[in-house]
Amino acid sequence: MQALLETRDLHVAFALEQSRAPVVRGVDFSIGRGEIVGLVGESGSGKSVTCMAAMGLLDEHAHLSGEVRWDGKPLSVQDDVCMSRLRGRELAMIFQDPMSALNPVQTIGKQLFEAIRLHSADRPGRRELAARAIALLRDVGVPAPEQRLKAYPHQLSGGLCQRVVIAMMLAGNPRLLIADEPTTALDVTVQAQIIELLRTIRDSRGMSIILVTHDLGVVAQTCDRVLVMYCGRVVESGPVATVFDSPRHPYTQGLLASLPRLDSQDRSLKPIPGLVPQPHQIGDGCAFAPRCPNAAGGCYSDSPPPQYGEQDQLFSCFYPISVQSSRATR
Amino acid sequence: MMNISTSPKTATAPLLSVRDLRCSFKGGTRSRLFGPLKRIQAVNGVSFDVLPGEAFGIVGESGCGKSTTAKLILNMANASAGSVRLRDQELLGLDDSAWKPLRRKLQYVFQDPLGALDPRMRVLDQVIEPLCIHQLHAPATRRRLAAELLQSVGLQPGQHGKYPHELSGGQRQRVVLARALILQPELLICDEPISALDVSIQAQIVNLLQSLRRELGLTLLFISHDLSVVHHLCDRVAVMYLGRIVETGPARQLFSTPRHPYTQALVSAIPHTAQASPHARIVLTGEPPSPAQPPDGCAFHPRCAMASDRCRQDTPALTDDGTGQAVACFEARLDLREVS
Repeated sequence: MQALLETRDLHVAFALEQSRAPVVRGVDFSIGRGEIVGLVGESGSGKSVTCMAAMGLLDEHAHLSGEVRWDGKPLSVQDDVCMSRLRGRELAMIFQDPMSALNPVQTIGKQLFEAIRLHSADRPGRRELAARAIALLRDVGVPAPEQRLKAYPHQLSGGLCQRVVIAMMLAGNPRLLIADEPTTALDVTVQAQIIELLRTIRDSRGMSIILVTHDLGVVAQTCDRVLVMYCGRVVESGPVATVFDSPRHPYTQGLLASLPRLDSQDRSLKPIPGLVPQPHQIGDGCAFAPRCPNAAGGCYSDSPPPQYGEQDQLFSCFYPISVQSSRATR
Repeated sequence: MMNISTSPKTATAPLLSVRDLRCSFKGGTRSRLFGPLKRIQAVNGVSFDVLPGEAFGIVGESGCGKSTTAKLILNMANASAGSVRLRDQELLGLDDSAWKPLRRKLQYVFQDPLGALDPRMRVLDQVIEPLCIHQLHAPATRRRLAAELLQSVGLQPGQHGKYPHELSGGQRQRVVLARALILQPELLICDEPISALDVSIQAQIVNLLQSLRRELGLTLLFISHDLSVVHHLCDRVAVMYLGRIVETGPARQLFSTPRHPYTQALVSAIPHTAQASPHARIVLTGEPPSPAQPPDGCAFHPRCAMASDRCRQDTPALTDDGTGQAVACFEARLDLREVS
């Protein structure tokens, strides 16, 4: 399967007064057609910056290196003219807070019309625009779409606003959607609805989706594949079932063990000790070594290369957890 | 009126007893410019007991009134009716001077630790401050107690002289906890204390709260939207929806056999990392209604798959089913009768 979006050895560093803070440090990943890939990690792991880089949304303070490929061809993400031709039509992005993605002083209808007009080759008239907008709102499950066109964002709930944002995104019919924490600001019952909606869109339109989130549960229920990021690197990746069933990297296992679960009664939480290091504190070795129970001398000086486990599982660790013991502790 | 179903069947006198608590705000959108503001019933007849030494959880989605309930207990919002008793003392309607000694017994921790700390004060001094306000101990003793407490919540002596901005989110929340605990409160109210933290740090704070409970015999009122954490930490739980408690009971029992359709949906909506979820997934239609325009009858009926005509007209009362679990639902009780 040819990848739709691919990054090779992607590095992003932000300029500080004296030095540079490396935020993304060599990320290789790819997403195929119709695939939902989860990008998980704690704050500061570089997951959002990786996506912003692929969308060409980083400003001049960011130093990029490495390669981004779109549909098999190199993509010049720093070329604004080229990227604005692709954005919305080929790849689109939605964010955590739907309220700030919408214009507070314009009606939902006006904003939807703008998106539709921007992405249609013909010049639709007012009636045609309204018909298409209503169809889009219906697609994303907004009740009574005819009336919503006249509503302002503050009159809608957070969940409805996120649906409107998704409808605007659908107007361009992109092939790849990057959703950055799309459900974090929403309540659990509404979160379940939005996750369901994203899966429906993937199934009906064959859209590829990159889901950026800190919530492992959301990934487990939504994604086909998962990439776990820590301090600007992908430490483990693979099919969701494999990675969550038998994590090989100690960080992935640590994350899973620190989640309380409804189905276990007396299990005490095992938090990962210590703190996520700041970008300037990361040395040459494995960034997780100071918090890792398996770390030995080599971990502090050398950075572990990725290696394959079972079923396309990829992990970067000198002392990975064996499959047997990993399954046993889950 | 409200029955005693919200207290467990034990002889222990409750530490905190909340009865038929109500609160309304003026707010919402006006029907016309300069028109009158609507009244929003944020808390609508909430009753529960917290026993000494237990952890009581309140869960619910945003706007259900869980935080307002905490603020009413702490006298940070004005209740319109009801009663809040700490042991035998009525707390509602007390003036500020009467509240001051009570603040020693009731302490609270909120979501945002940076907002709770003074940015220009070293963390050790911030932990000492409550002792100064309540004029407890000699200055040297205060210092020693604060340093000991900071260390027992996991802050090394090297960090005691730092300012809040020099610490991480998890460390700041530890400072806030230490400052709340220095007065040895009888009840600690935590409102979303870990929601702003990263996953691996959340687990550290949850474990800290658990060990503090064991060591200090702390009583906890824990408010959160995160059901898994509440299930993990709390002995008993109340589920709130639109200003009312819709279900309450022992945490494990309530989460393994939820009876109210809302609790069932809430439990099933929790994303699991395990492949086989213990509950079939229920995706609710619609969103929580606005408290400014609550539906007639049971507030949940517009989203409920089991709603009958009765649900659209009458509000079900919270009723104990005999197992320690209490449900406010007409249909759930019918269900149960069939089962038993």
